Amino acid sequence: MNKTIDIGQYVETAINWLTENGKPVFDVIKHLGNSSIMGIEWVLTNTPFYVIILFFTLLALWKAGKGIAVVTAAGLSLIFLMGLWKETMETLALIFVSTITALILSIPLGILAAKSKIAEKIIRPLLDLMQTMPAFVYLIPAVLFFSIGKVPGAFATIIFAMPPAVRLTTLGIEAVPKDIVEAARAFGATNRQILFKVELPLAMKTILTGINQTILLSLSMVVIAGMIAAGGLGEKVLEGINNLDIGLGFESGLSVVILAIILDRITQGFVKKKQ
Amino acid sequence: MKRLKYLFFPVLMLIFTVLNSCENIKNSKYITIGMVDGWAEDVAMTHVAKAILDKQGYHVIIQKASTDMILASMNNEDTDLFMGVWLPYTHAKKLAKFPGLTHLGTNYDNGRIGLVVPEYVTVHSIEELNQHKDQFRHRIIGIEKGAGLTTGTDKAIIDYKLDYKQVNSSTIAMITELQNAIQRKEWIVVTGWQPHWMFGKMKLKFLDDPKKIFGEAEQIKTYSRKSFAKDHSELAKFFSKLHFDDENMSDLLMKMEQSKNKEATAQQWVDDHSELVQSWLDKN
Repeated sequence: MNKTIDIGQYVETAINWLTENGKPVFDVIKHLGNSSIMGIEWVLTNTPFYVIILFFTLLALWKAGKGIAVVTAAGLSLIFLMGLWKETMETLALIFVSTITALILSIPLGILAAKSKIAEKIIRPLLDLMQTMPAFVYLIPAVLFFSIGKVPGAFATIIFAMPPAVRLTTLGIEAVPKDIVEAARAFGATNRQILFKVELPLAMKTILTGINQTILLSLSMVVIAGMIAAGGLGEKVLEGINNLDIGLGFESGLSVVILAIILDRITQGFVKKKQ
Repeated sequence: MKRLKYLFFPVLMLIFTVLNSCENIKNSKYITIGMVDGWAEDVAMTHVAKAILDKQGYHVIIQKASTDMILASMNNEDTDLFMGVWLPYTHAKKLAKFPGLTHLGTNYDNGRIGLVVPEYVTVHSIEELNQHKDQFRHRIIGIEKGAGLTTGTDKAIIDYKLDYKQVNSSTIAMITELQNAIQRKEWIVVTGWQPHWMFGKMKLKFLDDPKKIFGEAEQIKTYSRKSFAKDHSELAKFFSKLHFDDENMSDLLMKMEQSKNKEATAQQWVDDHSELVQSWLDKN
């Protein structure tokens, strides 16, 4: 175990410095994050379950057709009957906040990378790092910054789920035919108008695919987030693992799968409608 | 109208923040206890404490995470308590990293860690392991990487010059391996600790440790965030008194292990031991 280069030491120093000096900032973020996750959780858990099932079923019917609507109704009812409703709603709240935050951050980044070569050169390796660094590694700084609970869970989820939205936004905008942009410019459109009236609408399908990927990735992080007391289905899965309770592990895992299928098909439906 | 749509989410967040802040001011009755899921004695004691405090009108939230994460969270003044600190050996190094924690009390006196074998294995001391390494297939089945017990075992392998490899995955995997080996009457050596339900469920014994690598008897203690005693002096008193003897501990662990519903079992146990619980709650 001879170390000639000690990168870890610098990372540790940087993280410790951030922990000590960034406390006020992190506390504000923690508070905001906690309130929004808790708030959405409160709404989801206090709405009667049949209202939520009905809402998702109608949404599926509208966006993804009859078959998926049936699957949605049956799947959510199964979750309710397995007694995992509260945990599923907790997970849904965490995914919702993580996804929204990830999109608020990643779509502007994607646009920036599409518009500027330099930005793209910086952003691309960062995305590679975010996607390939083992997700457990984020848990350490997440806990040091935000303690254990829902916010570090969301933090780790956001880092992991952002890249596809950034990449696909960039891709979508770069794929807009140059002659359409030229034509718009010839009619005297400003840069801003070109972005909002020409490029974003044409790239929308690709961007929505990115959003769909972000939602699914954030779902796959849920179990890992459960290791730092983020609650929800992840905690149930881990409880099953830690107590050799095969039944509980399978039931909670199945709930994650059901949630993933429903969210995937509905967001896919939004993409298809754009065609 | 379109603009309003974009404002909706931030406004919603703001409303929740305000609501949440109001909630925090009046709810000093919320207590968070960190717990390592898979540590039978920590899970059992935490649930008993929750059952007692919930009856007293508190609202106890159990946060499941690993040891270091819980300690870091307490150091940030967020998580209130952790009832599973093993001292003076196992967690001494981990605790030294977080100077901002306060010791509240001792929950149990006869904790012990070390190498464990089934009773039918005819080895009695760690020093004899090298003579039987083929029967044990050169393996010591460990728990999680990074646990105090794992580090201790690594040290034991070096100090006793054992021709063994420690295999680490998780506590539950270790117990599963142990159960399978006992069913097949194979020889196996694992890293274990007492108090634990596996000693009630299977016939096991600790190997002697003449070099005292794993220390002697350990105490399991409750630690809290720095200003907890200032915020909840009556609770600090309660946790300084809370204490399990061997009999209570093994009784509680067996009941917890057999039950599907830990909360109900803990409540039942508290009802059955009302005198003991009352003595912890006494103000003087």
